[in-house]
Amino acid sequence: MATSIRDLLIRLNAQVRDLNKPAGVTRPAASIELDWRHLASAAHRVADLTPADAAGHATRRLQLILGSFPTDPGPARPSGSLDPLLELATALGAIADLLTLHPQVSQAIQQVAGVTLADRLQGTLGAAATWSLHAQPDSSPLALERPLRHLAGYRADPSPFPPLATAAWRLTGCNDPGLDGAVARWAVAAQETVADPRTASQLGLQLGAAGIALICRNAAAVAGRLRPEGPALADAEEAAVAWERAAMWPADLHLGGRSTYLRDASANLREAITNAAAPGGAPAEHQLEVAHSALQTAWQVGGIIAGTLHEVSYGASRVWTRADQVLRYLPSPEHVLAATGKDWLPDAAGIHSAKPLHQAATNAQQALTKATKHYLAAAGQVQPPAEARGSDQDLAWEVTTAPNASCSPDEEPLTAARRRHLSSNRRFV
Amino acid sequence: MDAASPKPVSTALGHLHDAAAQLLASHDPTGTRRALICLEAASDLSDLGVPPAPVPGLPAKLAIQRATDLLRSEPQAEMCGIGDRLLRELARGD
Repeated sequence: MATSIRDLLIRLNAQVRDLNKPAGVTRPAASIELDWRHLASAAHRVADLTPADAAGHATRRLQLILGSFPTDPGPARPSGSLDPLLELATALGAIADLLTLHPQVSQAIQQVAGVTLADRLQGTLGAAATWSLHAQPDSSPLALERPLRHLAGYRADPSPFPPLATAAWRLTGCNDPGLDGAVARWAVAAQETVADPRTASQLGLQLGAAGIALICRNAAAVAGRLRPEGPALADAEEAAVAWERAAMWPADLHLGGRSTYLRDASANLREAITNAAAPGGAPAEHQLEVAHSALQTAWQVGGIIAGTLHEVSYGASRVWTRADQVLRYLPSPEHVLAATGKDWLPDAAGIHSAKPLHQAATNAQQALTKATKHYLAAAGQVQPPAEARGSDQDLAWEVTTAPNASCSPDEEPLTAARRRHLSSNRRFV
Repeated sequence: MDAASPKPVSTALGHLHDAAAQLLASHDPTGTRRALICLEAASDLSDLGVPPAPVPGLPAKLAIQRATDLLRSEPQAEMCGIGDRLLRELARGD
């Protein structure tokens, strides 16, 4: 199942919310300390991998505190349901794994994601430490009480939805449903078919390039539906045009070989893109996540195609040229003799007939890099459509206060809202 | 690759390449999708070891029609299947 850091942060937020509920549970001190080894280790990985300088002093302080926890996993834990601390450790470990993906993203996205991650990490550890200090029975004091008290000073961010920038780190698999799975399978097939310059075929390279163009067209269509005035649409269209050019081979060049695997994956990709564009599909933010994820995958395949074309163009060329074209620039008697009765001739030593194709793929990859890097930032500031927002009249209930609802200045907003809600319900009983 | 006898399937492959290039050059989403369908059919032929033959320039639609006519006139069921599939995919609008 496809997952992103954003998905994991939403899950983490729910776990922290559950942790904050007063449950009155106690755990043996040894069990809490054992779970903290895993939690601190996962948190340390996230802190180390958090992008850019967003981490700042606060995260460096956090890293120092985490450094005082034992790092070895300790004795094996009895199997069974996960304790809340281990659930947090699992989510943080998954975030750390996704952070090693290194997607092609802009500095702005890295900055936003870095700040969000640092903030959520502190809030999560703060909630976990507070929970641990309360869950510990008085009879068995915790050896880790001091660092836990330091961590308990951090507060969780109450906002349930992290910014879209955190969806840039997204992992998809071949078994995923819809476009995610189709793109993943297409990428695997493209790599199998075109990565090796000794076996790559013209149609494999053309299908790969045209597939990238189609993915760019899909990204442009999503950006156009959600944010038509932004640069995401123009950048994605530019990349699509560039890859369409790279997919066009002149009629006088030929590179034989098989491309069956990619041919089937390409048909599958085409169908998945058509289905994804059907009306009544996924919510806007999810469409952007999927389109961006597909661009990232296409960018990886684009790099492979450009690399292979470089080898094909400048290495030992396997490219064949139409005989009449060869005779046009190599009219030596040997070539005239060799070309007699032939349609095609292999590239002679020192001839780089595929050079313009390599140049086109390089240009296309540059355009795709630009489109991919900025896509989420450019298309991400999505406003809900007018019909979903409703008219001002529809929203009037939001600003109506219940009668006799007074709000103490030091009352928590959530508590105040709950009290107002209860008092308004009571009027109808 | 001898020039002596350009076979109908080679000519069909030439037409498919030509049509794909024209559709890609149109730089619109439908054109890209149709070009991909042509390239997929070309890949089917290429996998059977068919080399492309030089073809006269025709508009994309006519080139595709010429290619499918040539494929469907072949005695081998495999070639007819490739032609039928090409037409089916194009008609579906994918």
